[in-house]
Amino acid sequence: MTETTGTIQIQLNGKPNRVEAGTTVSALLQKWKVRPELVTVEINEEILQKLDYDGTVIRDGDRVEFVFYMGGGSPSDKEA
Amino acid sequence: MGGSDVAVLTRSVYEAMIAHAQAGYPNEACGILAAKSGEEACGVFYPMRNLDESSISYFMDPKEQLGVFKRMRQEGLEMRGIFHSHVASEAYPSQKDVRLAYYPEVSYLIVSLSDRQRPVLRSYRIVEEAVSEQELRVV
Repeated sequence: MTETTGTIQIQLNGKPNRVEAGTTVSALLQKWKVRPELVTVEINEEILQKLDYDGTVIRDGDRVEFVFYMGGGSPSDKEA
Repeated sequence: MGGSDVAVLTRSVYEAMIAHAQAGYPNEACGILAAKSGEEACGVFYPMRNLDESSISYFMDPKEQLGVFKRMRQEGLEMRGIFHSHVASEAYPSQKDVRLAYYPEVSYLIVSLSDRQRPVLRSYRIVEEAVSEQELRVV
């Protein structure tokens, strides 16, 4: 697989996906309507720093994973 | 479970969740529930670490989350629920729980340990910050 066709093949959350060559992580998240501040992104087993989302270009064959944060807690005093 | 108005889990998952919550006390505990694709009952529970180590909040380790998501895929499982404990308040989603509910397709299960001898487990769907309780069935 080459990048000359204009699209590349990646694995996104375990599923095959084609994206435009040159797509950054930020652009990928935008395409999926995912707010970057709510997710952790991993490429090929390496977690990316949020500051790098804009500058990281996804390459052919990359395994990209993103998960939304999972958190919460007990009611605050104001809620109780 | 998840998208329906009924959350179904096996007895062993129920017991594992309560045990995990009790073991984490006095801090909140958390975990992920999964089921085989096409099966109604949730038969797998992944106890997760609470990075906050707090009695009033929980936050899962994203690295651990990523690992669990991959395991679920490899084992033909689907995430069906996100679980945590409230150690001193009722089993109802707090504002923070609602704000941080980013998986509308799954159930949000909360166990209250305000009476540790009698844990109360309830299940909800949270879609665009709207909370609706689900019937909870242990089979």
